Amino acid sequence: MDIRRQMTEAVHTPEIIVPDDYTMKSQAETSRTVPALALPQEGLRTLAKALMGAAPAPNSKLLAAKRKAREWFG
Amino acid sequence: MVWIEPHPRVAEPPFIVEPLAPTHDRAAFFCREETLTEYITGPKAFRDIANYSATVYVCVDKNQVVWGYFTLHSFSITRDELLSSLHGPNWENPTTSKERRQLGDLRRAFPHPVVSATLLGKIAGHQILRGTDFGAGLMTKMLEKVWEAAQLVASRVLVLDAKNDTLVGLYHGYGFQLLSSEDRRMFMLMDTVKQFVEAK
Repeated sequence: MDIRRQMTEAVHTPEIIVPDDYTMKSQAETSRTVPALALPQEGLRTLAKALMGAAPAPNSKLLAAKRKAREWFG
Repeated sequence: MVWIEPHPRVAEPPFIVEPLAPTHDRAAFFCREETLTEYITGPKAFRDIANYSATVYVCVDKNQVVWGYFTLHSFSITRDELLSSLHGPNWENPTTSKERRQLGDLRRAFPHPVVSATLLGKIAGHQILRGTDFGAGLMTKMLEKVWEAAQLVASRVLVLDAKNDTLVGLYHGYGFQLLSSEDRRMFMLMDTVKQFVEAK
């Protein structure tokens, strides 16, 4: 466990942090966080068209949220 | 005079967003959706990290108390799936000169056989902060992390699944578009995310 801790500290981006007491018993323990990603035909068409066109600029509501976020997140 | 330490369950902005770590105090996190509460307070979030199934970011205050979180995943869609939906299964075999010109455009728009994408798996804020701007703020932080991630591993689009119609309306208001009328999956192009992050 000490090696694991040292590795965690040594990595600059500590995204992968495993608690010392963690042992995975089976694959079934993993939550089904990723839903099925099969897109319906209509969804594929929408996405294909969007990817071929110009991306819309962020709207004013989203930009206002960014300004407000500064109060919460500095 | 007696100094009383503030209770760690009192939200103390400014918050920071960082990868979930064992040092974070997750026990008091609570939101209306039970599965979202269980995910972060129980072991599932760490299991997903250990399995490389998800990247879990938490929003914490100076006391390391978790007030919100979100998870990001990556997935891909094949170019063939996308273009077959628009031009049929024979999109790569043009028969007319117009189709041949179109094929060139399609290849420029989709130079690789796979389109990479980012999926927002879960996002939740503490029940105490409902009705505040915290949720919108957390979403903006999520977009910043999505853009950071897309600079490391390319991604062309952010996709999310809205839980209900109210959330569809909410995300739509922020510029997410519905993929289809069959479900509540929504998307935002990465270039829009980039413009958002770079906006002053």
